[in-house]
This record gives sequence, C-alpha cells and structure tokens, in this order.
Amino acid sequence: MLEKGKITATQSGMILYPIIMSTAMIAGPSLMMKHAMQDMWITPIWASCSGFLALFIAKQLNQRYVNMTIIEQSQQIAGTFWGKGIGFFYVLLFLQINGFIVREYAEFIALFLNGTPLSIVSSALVLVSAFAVRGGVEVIARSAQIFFPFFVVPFLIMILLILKDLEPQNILPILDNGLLPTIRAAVIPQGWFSEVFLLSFLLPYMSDRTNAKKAGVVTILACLVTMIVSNLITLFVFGDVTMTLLFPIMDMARYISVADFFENLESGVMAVWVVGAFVKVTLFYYVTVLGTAQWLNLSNFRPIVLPVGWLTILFCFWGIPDFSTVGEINSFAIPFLLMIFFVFIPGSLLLLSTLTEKRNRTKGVDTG
Amino acid sequence: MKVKCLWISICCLLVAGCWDRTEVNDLAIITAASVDKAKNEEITLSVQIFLPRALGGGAGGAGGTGGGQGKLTTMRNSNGPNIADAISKLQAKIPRQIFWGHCKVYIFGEEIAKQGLADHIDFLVRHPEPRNRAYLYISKGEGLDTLDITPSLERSTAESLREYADLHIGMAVTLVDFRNMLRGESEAAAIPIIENGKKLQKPEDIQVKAVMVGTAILKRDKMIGSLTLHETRGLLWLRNEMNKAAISVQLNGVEGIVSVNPIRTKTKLIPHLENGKWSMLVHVDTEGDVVENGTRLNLMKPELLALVQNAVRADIEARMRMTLKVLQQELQTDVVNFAAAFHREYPKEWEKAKGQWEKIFPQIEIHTQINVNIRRPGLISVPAGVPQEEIKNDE
Repeated sequence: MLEKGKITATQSGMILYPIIMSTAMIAGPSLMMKHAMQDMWITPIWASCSGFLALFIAKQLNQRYVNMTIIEQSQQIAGTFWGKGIGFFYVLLFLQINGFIVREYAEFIALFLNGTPLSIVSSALVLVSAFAVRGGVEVIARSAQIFFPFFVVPFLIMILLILKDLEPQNILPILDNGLLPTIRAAVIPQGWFSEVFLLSFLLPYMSDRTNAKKAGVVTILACLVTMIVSNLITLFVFGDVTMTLLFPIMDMARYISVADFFENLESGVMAVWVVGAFVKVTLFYYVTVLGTAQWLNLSNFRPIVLPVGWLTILFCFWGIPDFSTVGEINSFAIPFLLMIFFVFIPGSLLLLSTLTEKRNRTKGVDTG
Repeated sequence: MKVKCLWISICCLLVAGCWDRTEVNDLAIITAASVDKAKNEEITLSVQIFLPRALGGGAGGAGGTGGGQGKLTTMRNSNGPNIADAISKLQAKIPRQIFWGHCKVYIFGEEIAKQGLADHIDFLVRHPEPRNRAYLYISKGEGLDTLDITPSLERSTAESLREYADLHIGMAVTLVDFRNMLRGESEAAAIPIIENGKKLQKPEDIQVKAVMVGTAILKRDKMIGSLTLHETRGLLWLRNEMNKAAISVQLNGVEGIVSVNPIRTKTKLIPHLENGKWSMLVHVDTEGDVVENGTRLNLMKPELLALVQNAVRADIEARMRMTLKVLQQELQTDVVNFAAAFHREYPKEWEKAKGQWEKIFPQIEIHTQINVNIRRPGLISVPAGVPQEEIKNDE
C-alpha cells in the first residue's frame, strides 16, 4: 500500500467539516439567496441530501472493496481499461477543482493584500500544503485536528457579537414564492456537500472504520446547521442586500461593533478562512497525488508531490482571467462537476457492482 | 539538513506576508469625508485628516491644558467627476497614502443629495477600506464646512458626529442601513441632517445652535424634503428607534407640566388589508420614569398617575400622527417602511400592489394602540418646593 498512516473517524470528520464549510462560508449566503431570496435558510436542507447520498455510496463501495480508493475500485468494477479511463478523469477533476479552490482563496486574500501578486499568494498556500501532503494522511489529519477549533470557535464568537444587530423580521414572508426556488438554489451547495465523497480516500486508512458512518453523518449535520445559521444571520443583518455581497460573512464581521472598540474583525475572518482553505487544498492535493500514484501504479507517492503542486498553481491561472469568471465557474461548472464525479459516477459503479454480484450469485445457483 | 534550512527560509519569506505591509507613519488617516456638488457636473471631495503630530506635540511641549488647543485635524479637498477620481487628485495634495479604515463619518452636501447619492455610495461599499458602520449625514449648505470646525469637547467633528449618532437624538444611519433602505420595499431612505458648518464656525454660535437639525427624506437616492427635529422624534417612535426622550405633557385642567422619560419602548407595525382597504395599526409599548413634576399632584396616587399616563399616550399619538401627516400628504414617501410590513403579512397582495405603492401609501389609514406605563416617580413622592397643604391627592 502506498499510504501507511492511520487516522481515526473523528479526524476524518474534522477534515471534512472545513472542506465543506470553507467554500460555503465565503460566498454561500449570497449564492443561495440569488434564487431562494429570504427563504435561503431552507436551501441547505435540500443540499445536504447529496452529502448523505455521497456518504452512503462511499461507505458501500468501501465495504465491497476494502482498502481501496475510488481509483482502484473503478478498475475492479469496470475492468482495467474503463477503470483506468474513469481514474484519469478523476485525477484531472481533482487537479482542476484544486486549482480553482486555490484561485478562489487567492482572490479573496488579494482583495486586502492588493499589492501582492496572485502567484505568490497561491504558491505560498500550495507550498505549505505540499509539506503536509508529503507527510501523508496522518499529518493531514493531525493538522486538521489542531486547526479545527481555530476554524469553529471564531465563527461562534462572531455570532455572539453580532446578535444585537439582528433583525429577525427579515425572514418574513416565509415561502413567498413557494418551495421550488429553495430547491433550485440548492444546486450550488449540493456540490459542496457531495465533497463528503472524498471519504473514499480516507476510509482505507481509518483505524476505526465502524465509526466512519457516524462521523460522516455528524459532519454533514454540523455543516447543515452551520450553513443554516450563517444564512439566517446574514439575512437578519443585511436583508435583501445579501444577494449583492460577494463575501457576506466577511461583510458581517466588518459590521460588528461592540462597546466602540471591539470592531473591524474582518482580519479574523480572513485568518479563519486561511485555516479552512489550507485543510481543503491539502486534502484535494493529497487526493490528486494519491490518485495519480495509484493510477500509475507507483510504489511511492512522494516524488510526485511537488510536480502536482506546480500543476495546481498552473490550473489556478489557466482559463480564469478575472473574478467574474471565478463566479461563473462557481455557479455553473463546479456544482455539476462535483455532482457527476462524487455522486453520479460512484453511484453507477456501485449499481454496476451490485448487479454483477447478483448475476454471479444467480449463475451460481443455476449451475450448482 | 541544508535542504531543510532552505525550505524553512523560503517559507519564512513567502508566508510572513510582508509584501503588503504598510507603516502607520506612511498613512494619512481620514476621520471624516464630505461630498459636495461642484461646477461642471463635478463633485468636491473633502477629507478631514488626523494630525498625529498635534496630539504628540501637545503632550510633550506645553503640557497640560495648553497643548489641547491646537487643531488635531486638517482639511483638504479636491474636485473630480466621481469619488475615485477626486481621491487620485487629492492624493497629489497629501504626502502620505490616504487610508479610509478609520473614517467613521460621511457627509453629503444638500445639493448633491438632491441630485442622488447612489453613485457615491457605490464607492463606499465597493472599496474594502471604508467601514460598514460609518455614519452618513446630510449637511445643510456644504459638507466641507463642517470638517473644518474644531469642536471643544471631542478631538474632531468626526468624533462628535459619531457620538451624536450613538446618543440617538435623531436618526442614526450607517452605510449598511442606508444600503438596506435603498434596496428595501419602500424605496425610501432617511438620513439625519446637520446644521450648515458655516453657521457653526464661531464659538458663540456653537454655544446656542444644535448640530442635529432634522432628517432628510430621500425617495430612492434623491433627497426630496426634510423633517424638522420635532417631526424626527415622531419618525423615531414609528421606526422603533426611540430610546432617549423627555415627553412633557400638560394635564387637562391642571397647572404645570409633568415630564416623563421613557426607558424602554417598542413599536410594532401591524398591517391590515381588507377589501382593498389598507390600514396600519401602530402598536407602541413604553415604560418610563417621571423626571420632573411641575404640578401640585401627588404622583404616588395611582389614579393621578393614570392621568399622566393618558396625557403621555395622547402626546405620543399626536407626535406620530404629525409625522405621518407630513410623510403621507406632503412628501408621500414611506420611510417608516410600511411597505415591508405589508410584504411580510400579505405577500400575494403586495406582489400586485408594489407598482402602485406611491399611490397607496398616502391613503393608508392609521390606527394606534399605545400602552404607557410609568413605573417610578424618581427619588421623591410629592412635588418638591410646594407646601404640604397645597398638594393635591385627587383631581
């Protein structure tokens, strides 16, 4: 096996939570509000369905093909030729998505550090992630565990500080335009939830695999609650204006003012976001590296860490000239890519493996 | 080992984030800014810049009270077609990098407010430096005159305006509030008006003149009229923003005035729509203390206290009705945001009516329900300074 580290189910939850939330926290509320308006707090509930589905598929596949990631599983299920083909697209997707995440992070940072070139901001993050990836899954899990409180606690503090400025009547009228818009708005966040499928790359290295399901469910529920809360709070502070804000949570932090001196907390949000982005980029990076190594049947994945990092930096610039393109990709390409690769393809593979298994079994009954 | 050292040094260089460092002594910290109309479709952007040297020099040099006399701020201005352009021209007049992060007050001249504020607000919310919680004001005359005044109590006019906003004497409108108002259902906004800075230059003027003089009423982003300070109080009651006030009432058939200080107030707008008839119930709950009793009534008697409560109730109602009359009949602008209340309660009907809201709003019938509770009489029971035998214990 390429990876000798061991992680626990709890650690995998601590990796997955920032992965889902770091994207959702940057633009989530405004993206969901575009369709759902003041009912956007309902949207995460629909979106989380894809998370549960992805979790179920990853767990089922892992039960059938223990100690294998989706790259190897696809070869087992669909045969070497088709399996290799699917694996290639997976690795390409990870590279593409990771490049996009790095770009999104860099754009956010560049808003404040506008003199720093984007390439420096993105390579600094990729470089730090490269160290973690070289350390393997155990290092990633432990760093996620250390960073977890830094990601969660500031958000809770922020909510406490903004409480006095909330205007809860902004939520009315509930379901003004019916349920349909809230479901339409779920298209984007369902993509984030489906990232739970990355568990496929963590399950083979989990020491207590029996708890994996519980950890996954708790993670999805935690993300669901956090998303509902952040949607509600931005709605209560900014009302309909939320839709026009590119970084609503950050704008909310900027609005905090307690006792005339506890204010201007946006740097806090930035720090939290750097932590979240680090975990997210590191896992996607790791998955790309591990997937490539498994696809090429390498005996060690460490030599390809830096080359993949270099590619990631390139992918963060290729085809993305400006922030409006980032927004377009974020709402039109990414959700569907994630849905196809994290729910649809693995789901079909699972179906295929169940069918072949059944056929083999009936055959067995026939002959014997 | 060598490789490790190399990695660590590369990391130190990249991750430390020194690329965008800014030294405080390279910054010109702006405390307030004003936008006024200039000739040829241009605007005048004026900024009040904090002078750190004045603060340090005062303490180190003369020491004590003498040092405080110097000005702590200075004013610069520049013209341009919009704020961003004016800033780049302004930068040529200031040796340090302009920094907006501490700007807590934005003042708009009366003329430019009548022309429309939307263009200028865009800069303030788009640029990452200006603060969401900065307060907006409209100045009578030109805003830049206010920036040049040296206040006696605070460091700068910016600081005093911010303190006024915190006191809630008039409206207090932040950048976020204004943005929310512009995109709200009623498409109306209100911004407090301050006195023309030219009239506040001399010390003797400052002694007698109030700074806050009322509220500007904007339809969309254009100023169309204003409320006096008296009418503003009514608006604060309606918008549930009232928190400090003294209500002085004269009781029927009783000599003298009683003043009541509301401690807690809550206003709720309850819309009602029946057979195409729009009406609004304004529900006010308030409780407060007696602060001055100029009558001969003993307010420890519940029935006499009830008299005062009734009078206060009538006074609050009169104030709100006076303001609503101006808003509904003269200005025809819904700054109380009745529109949002109707949207929340009657979403379907609102969908049909929102195009004609300007016609509907003036015809809305207003009902009021006001609960006044006077909890405490202060430190004394019977009126002070009146002989015991003259005190009335009943009507």
